[in-house]
Amino acid sequence: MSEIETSGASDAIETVVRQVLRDILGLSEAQVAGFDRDTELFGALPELDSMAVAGLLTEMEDRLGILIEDDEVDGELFENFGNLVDFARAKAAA
Amino acid sequence: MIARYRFDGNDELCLRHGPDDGPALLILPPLFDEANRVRHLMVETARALAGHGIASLLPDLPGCNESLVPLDRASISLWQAALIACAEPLGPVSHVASIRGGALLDGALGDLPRWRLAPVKGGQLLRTMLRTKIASDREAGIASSSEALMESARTQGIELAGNHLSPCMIRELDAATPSDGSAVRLARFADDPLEADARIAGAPLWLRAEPAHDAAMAQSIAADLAAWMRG
Repeated sequence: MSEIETSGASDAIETVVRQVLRDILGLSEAQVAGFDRDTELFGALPELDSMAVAGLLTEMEDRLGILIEDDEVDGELFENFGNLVDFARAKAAA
Repeated sequence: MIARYRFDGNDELCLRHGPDDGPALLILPPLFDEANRVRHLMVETARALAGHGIASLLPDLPGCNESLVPLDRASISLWQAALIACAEPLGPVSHVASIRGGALLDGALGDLPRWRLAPVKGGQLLRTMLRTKIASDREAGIASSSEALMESARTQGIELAGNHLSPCMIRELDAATPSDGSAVRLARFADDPLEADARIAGAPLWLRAEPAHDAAMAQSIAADLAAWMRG
């Protein structure tokens, strides 16, 4: 079971992050549904290069209505799915 | 059929599908890297449209695809001028269809009926390309920012993700938004929460890290375009 909290709005944000990863990586609904907090992203997914990461950030901004500053982006953010969702939630709540 | 049009002293290529006579649909691809990722989709859509009895033009923009013109000579306004030069010998064009950044050019031929799939602002495309530059700078130990890069790009031009962009392109792209039109049909994917006039079965292939094709999506786009053009 996912450790990610599933309270209303947060759940919607997690869904959007999953959909963005699905669209960038060309994964199926079932594959991204299997992502949990510890699913490794950068490093574990070779197709997630700097171009793909750039597209991912812009799509997250667009779909979540947030603005991601240059200095907020670091390796840790893409370490695993949990970090990315936490970041998206914090930005959406700000 | 591979047709040609003359623009600014150069021959540019244009794919023409469907019946030889009668008005054509002008198809505008997304811009920059996104165009490469949906090239297969665009061509298959044009073929599917021919199956519906619809003629289409899919031109190379100067500096893109097979064009011999360096990209750093291109700008949004130059691309719009090229579309006029393309439609003159190869048209008449009755409708315009675009994907993503193609919508930034779709007013070039005046207020024709326009179909747009997931239109995007130029600033958003620029932002993504700036991010790749910031990431590669960081790997090289250089701390850069979007603001600083844009400031110099506006006067010096810049190379972003392999694209040499002139100061003119930077300024025009940064300001470009899909124009208003009297007859715009907005298409989005089935799971997109934003409002739309049409829902397409498929996925945003222009985002894919590894280019892919979706034959069913080409059919879905062509079917919607054909129904729309026939009114």
